Amino acid sequence: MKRIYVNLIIGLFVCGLTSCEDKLADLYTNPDQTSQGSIGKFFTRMLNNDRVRPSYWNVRTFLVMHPAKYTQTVSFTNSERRYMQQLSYIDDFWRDYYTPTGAGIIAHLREMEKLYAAMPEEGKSQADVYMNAAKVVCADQTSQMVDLWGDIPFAEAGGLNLKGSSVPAVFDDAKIIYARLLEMLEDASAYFANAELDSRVQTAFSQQDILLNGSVEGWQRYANSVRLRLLMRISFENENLAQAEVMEMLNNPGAYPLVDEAAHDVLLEPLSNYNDNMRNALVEVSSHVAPEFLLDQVMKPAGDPRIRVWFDKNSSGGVQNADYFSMPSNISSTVQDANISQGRYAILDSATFLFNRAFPGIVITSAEVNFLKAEALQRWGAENDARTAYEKGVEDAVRFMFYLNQLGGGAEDPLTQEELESLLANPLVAYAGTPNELLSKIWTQKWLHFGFMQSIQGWAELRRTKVPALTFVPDLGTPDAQLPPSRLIYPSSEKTYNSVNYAAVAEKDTPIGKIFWDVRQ
Amino acid sequence: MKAILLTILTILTLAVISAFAQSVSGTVAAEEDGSPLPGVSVIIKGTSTGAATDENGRYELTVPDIRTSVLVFSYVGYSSVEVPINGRTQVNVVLSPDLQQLQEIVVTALGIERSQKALGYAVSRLSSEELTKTANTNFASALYGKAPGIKVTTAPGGATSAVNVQIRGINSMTAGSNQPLYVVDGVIIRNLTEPGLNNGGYWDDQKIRGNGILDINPADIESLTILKGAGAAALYGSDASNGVIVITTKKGRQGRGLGVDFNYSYTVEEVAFTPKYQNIYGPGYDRETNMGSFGSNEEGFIPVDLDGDGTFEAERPIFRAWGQFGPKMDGRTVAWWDGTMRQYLPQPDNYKEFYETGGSSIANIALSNSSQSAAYRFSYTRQDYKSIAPGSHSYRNNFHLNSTISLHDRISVDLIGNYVNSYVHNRPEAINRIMANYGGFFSRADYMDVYLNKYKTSEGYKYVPPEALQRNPEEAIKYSIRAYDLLEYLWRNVHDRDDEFQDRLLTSVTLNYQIFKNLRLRGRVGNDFTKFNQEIKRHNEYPIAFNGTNSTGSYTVNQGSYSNLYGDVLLSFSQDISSDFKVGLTGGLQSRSQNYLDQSSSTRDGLIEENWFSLSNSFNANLNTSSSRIKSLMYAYLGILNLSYRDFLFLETTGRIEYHSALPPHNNRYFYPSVNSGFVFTEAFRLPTFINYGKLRAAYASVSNPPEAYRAPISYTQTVLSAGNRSVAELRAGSEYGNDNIKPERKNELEIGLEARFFKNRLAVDVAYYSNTVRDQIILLSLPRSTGAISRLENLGEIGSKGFEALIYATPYVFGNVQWDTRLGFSTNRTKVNKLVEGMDEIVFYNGDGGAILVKAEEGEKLGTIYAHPKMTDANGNYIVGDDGLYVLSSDYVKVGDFQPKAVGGWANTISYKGFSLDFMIDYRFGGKIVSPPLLYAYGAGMFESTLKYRDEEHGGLPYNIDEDGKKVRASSHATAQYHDGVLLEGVTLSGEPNTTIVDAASYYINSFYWSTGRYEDGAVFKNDYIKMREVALTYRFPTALAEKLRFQNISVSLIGRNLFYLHRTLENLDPEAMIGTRWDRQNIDEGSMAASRSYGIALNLAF
Repeated sequence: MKRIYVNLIIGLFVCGLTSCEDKLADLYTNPDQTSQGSIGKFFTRMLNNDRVRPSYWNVRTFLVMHPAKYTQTVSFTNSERRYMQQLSYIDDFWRDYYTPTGAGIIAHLREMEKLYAAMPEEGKSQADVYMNAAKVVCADQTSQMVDLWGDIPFAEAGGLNLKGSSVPAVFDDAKIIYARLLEMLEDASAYFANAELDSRVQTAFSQQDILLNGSVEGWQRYANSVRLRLLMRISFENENLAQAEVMEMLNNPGAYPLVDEAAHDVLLEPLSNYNDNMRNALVEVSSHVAPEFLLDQVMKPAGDPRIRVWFDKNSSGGVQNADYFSMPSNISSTVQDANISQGRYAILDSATFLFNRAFPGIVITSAEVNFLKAEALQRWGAENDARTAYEKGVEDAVRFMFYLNQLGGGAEDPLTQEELESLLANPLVAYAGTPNELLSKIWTQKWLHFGFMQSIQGWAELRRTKVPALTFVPDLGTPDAQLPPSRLIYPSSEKTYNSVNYAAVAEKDTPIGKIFWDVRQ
Repeated sequence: MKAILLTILTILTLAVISAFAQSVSGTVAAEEDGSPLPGVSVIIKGTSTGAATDENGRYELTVPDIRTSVLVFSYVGYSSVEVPINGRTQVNVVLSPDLQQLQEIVVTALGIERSQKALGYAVSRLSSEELTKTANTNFASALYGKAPGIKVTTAPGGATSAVNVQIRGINSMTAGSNQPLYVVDGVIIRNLTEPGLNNGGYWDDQKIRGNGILDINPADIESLTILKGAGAAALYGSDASNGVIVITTKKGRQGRGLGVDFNYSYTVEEVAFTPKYQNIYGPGYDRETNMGSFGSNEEGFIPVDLDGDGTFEAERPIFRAWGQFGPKMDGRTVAWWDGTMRQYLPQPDNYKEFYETGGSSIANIALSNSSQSAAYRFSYTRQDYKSIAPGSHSYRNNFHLNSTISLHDRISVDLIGNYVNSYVHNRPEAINRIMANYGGFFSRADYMDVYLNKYKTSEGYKYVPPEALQRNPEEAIKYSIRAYDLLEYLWRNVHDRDDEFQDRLLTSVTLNYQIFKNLRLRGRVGNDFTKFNQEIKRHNEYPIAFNGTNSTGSYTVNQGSYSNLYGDVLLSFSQDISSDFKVGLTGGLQSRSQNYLDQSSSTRDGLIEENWFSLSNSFNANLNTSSSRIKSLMYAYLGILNLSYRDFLFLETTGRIEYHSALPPHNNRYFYPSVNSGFVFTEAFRLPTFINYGKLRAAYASVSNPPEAYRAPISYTQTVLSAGNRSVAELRAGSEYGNDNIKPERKNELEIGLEARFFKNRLAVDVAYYSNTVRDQIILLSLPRSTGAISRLENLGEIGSKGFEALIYATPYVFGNVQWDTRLGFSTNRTKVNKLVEGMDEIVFYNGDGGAILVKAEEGEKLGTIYAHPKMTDANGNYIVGDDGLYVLSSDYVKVGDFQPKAVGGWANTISYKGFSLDFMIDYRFGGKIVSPPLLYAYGAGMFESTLKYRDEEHGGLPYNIDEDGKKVRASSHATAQYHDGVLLEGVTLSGEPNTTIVDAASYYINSFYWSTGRYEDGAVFKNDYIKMREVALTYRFPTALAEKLRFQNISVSLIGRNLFYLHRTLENLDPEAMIGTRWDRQNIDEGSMAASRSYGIALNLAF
């Protein structure tokens, strides 16, 4: 009897003390995770970006509270502290760029670089396509960070993923980062121009590439177009460089294919199990109401056919409003709120925007590229070529909005050729006037095309070009933020945890500071 | 002949036997009730031979000389006796309890019982009565002030909220939870299902979580021992860093026959200690904003057109405002946001009305019995509880069985089983959204009944905001309000259903085997198994006809199973080397494995059919599902060596080699040694007679704290995406980056102490001093995002605590039937950051409100220093006032305090008179600050009485007029002024001139105390000292004769009260215990939790 008990108790300890050590090692790692990295899978994570897609958090906390508001591409009520930057939301955006909480552009690119460096030569050649595509994504996303903040940690960023070192990274000069991004894009474009993928590599790449489905040519166009965008961004600050490089591209369309046709638009499809839409993100902060300048000053006078797919007239007291009414910006928020709740203002179209669950993440479109071309050609080339590009830009922009409406199952009649021609003939839009007027038209149409969805681009271009000239009702009760800022201030996490390097940029860290390309008066 | 031969042989045989061995036998009984005492050691004096009594108290042994041998009878808790045999063969003995010694048996690490005298380290012991006197719903919140060196904090919310116990300061900056190890009947129990509770702030977890100790029923606890220092806890190795609480449950008592005890208590719980709100001004901001942004008139009322005819026939306050700078609540009739006309009057109790009246009812019945071969106690407890949090209630059933069975005269088995079945409905949620969020601020003008009516419609849908009018035009909210988050809270916590069901089984089997007289084997297997189920039913918020691309409502099922398997084996050998010198040697093994599994499934994108709560009713066919698991294993070899000399000098040394799976495989074995010594100088020297007892003790030990399972490895998470018509795997690096070189935190502690009793034990003191260092701190280091992760686990630096504890017991007054017993506890502790790693002189632990407030660990400083931006000053120290008339904040940080209390303790008293006794317990905390951003927001919003300053002439506002340029010009007197709420801040302008810019009071508060940009130094950092009347019990015990007449052994009735009032406190708008979270820093950061409560009621105890 007693022996049984003794044996029982001793037995409990006999996971055979030798095998115990193996068991400890097994239990050290989480069975739901892996310690094995993968270049292809990290690449997919970089593409699967909720800051590119119209995800709730990005629209609600970042776009409509910052760049879209600062570009008046959404409406906002005259509530107190309306122009203040939302520090914790800004912090989230910054976090999503660097860390795996979001797409983790930096973290995952560095993980890829670490794996790549440890590969044998043959493996490297198979991985090159991922590395180059990742470079393009990184350049695109990084330039947006620079446009928002200016100097940011870049070259040394992601040290933890690359080297296991948590030494804080220095803030690189914005201008130097831009130069580096341009190089990366040029390199990637050159790679894609000559890339011939092994069929197995092509299959795997097509599988992992959720943005362009493995199209090497698509990546080349994307790389060149982002390069064009960045060169134009610095074109007032370093006109010689911009002009030389842009014109070289535009003069050799065979060597430098661009996203200049709608068929080449780079759009990030929503995941097929995505079932959300932008309604809450927009309605919660009353950003679904038609903004005054955009509707009354730009679209209506031009007879813009997009109005009917962009807005709904809405109805008050059960009766449809007589017209598309925008929300006046110079009345009190009480009246604004009351009118909004009574449905007196036009609101964003439900098929195109509010309930559109097929709405893609807009990366770069032919409309934007044609506007960029138009500006370049207007400044450095032939006005006729500029006109062609501009008109193509307007047409593609209009068609794009109808395309979005159709994606959302919109019941609007398709765009007619007459509507388009009448828009292009409208004096507000028609390509006629002094060179400055022409540039203003290009920029205004581009601003309109960006809308709130691409308002990060829109805000950068607004600051670069100062067009269109927007007026804001000052918030006198908030001495710190009476008007919108000209850049975002650094998130407190970076300030606090990277205080040594922050000190070097602290002086530039004001809401009225200017990004290096913001030189035009 | 044959017969003669046989007789001779028999005589010879007997003679031979009697010449070599003479047998003596007898029984040993207890003096109190004459019951037999098993296990009494009977030793022949001067030898090491002897025997032990069996379960009938019988012994038998052979003595060398029946005429001269002397037997020594000893038994724990009884006085030893020496009995000369004097030629007898039957020696019966009655042992009398040694009352002094009886109290001194202490259950120490691994359930080893030792006499207090032999201990070289400090322990605190609490009896069952001390834990149950005021009917606390759990034992841990009964520990307030009762043991020096222990800091207790109970999260608000009531019986389902966690109780934190912090022993001897902070032992770890971030790893784990700083919570002690809990051992019940020798088995390590699960306290937390996750590493910490509510430590990630509100957004991490909105519910106020409970911990595993809440399931241990106070009524079943016989005694509780707190092993405070490393010396006491060393045998637990890596579990011991935060101290150990050892609980022994009640056993069936020997010799009482069938006993039945019945206890019942009922207490009422009500909200207490609410902020001091101002009740004069209603909602609104400064005039400029009221008029400019809200279109109000100058007074702050918005004109209202009630009938839509285009003319304004009424007015209303700015319901949308979070500020409370609107017009005075003067009783006029205004249009209300629910569509009625109401009086604009202060509702001073509307915050209290948000809460409900709670209470608890606890019934316990216990049966105990014993026989010669078995003893048992069985108890059942039912606890019903209703929280003050709206919509929340819970119950718990505890079944407890503790039995001992003798299988053989040398083998006994203890079987203990505890089954806990509990249910929580709508666990209280932190009210962060109401207290720490402008979107939840409601005004004193608000009628709470309007909120309580409006949060759902008559059809059972969610309230209808004005912008969604079409959903229900009749019941829609008429004017946009501010506190939508209050409506949301009510909808979630009152209307929706969140039900938690838990079944927990705690079992242990212990085998005691006396192999030889001086060799004992004890083996123990214990299990703590919990099955957890949760169902969350969120109702549809509006009719499905209004659904867009998704629906509302949801159904979630969560399941968890948490298993802890514990085992230990100890083989003990003891030997007297001489009559003065004794040696004990113990070797053993211990192991613990954990196996936790959590699963969750929920509907996605809402419910397709209204309010049908089923996974098959998901709007999106792809359900949300997730699971996570933790498995871990720890095992250790241990050894103990005990030496004692003449029963006054004791030395113990222990060693433990431990292996732990949470540590990297190449580095998972550690050794933990300890040594301690006790010296009872009153027995070694002749001392004045007023000193009854005195002991000096010293201990040194090394223990540790490992990382949590799976935190160290560097690993990647895979997710499968549905992209187009294919599935694509993506891989994500860790936002919290791993570290494969992590080591456990190593704590080394030295402690010395003194125990002494004087004046026939009427005065006793127990003091201890300790000093420790904890190196290789495992820190989840917050990183700049630009490194590629948010944080990383690192071994960084060393912290150290020094502290002093004292406990004084006294019976200062005895006269006739009146006796006053008092016990004063005092402890002080300081935890310093000794060093961090090379090149790092600080770590930021908390970065609140966009860098407005930082909490740091700084080399050479106390752990937990608080930093905020100070007001900017010029070279002469004058405050600088900006053009806007407000102080300019410096971009530098200045230290504004630290988290650590200097002194924590309690004062317990019992005054008895005949059958009456009055117990009261006061506890206190002094020193250290807390951080409360919500107080700053509410101050800036003009919520508190203290914000009346400057608002009008009566409260010191300056008179001014506004000139045609809109500039405020100070008036010579109030009589000549249009406005009376001017503030002129003392300071100089940037150019050095004295400030002359007048600002109105509303602008001053709103802009000086706003989220992130406000003056946190002045508005969010507060001293947190308090003295609180924690527990009071007035008990009447019926006279025994009367009780017996009623066929009871004992009857007593008590009036009880808990958390009754503060005798002193420095926080006026926040309860000192509002903080939630188990980690040291979280316990000092308020993010808006629940209001605190007080309870009072009645308790009845019957024994028959």
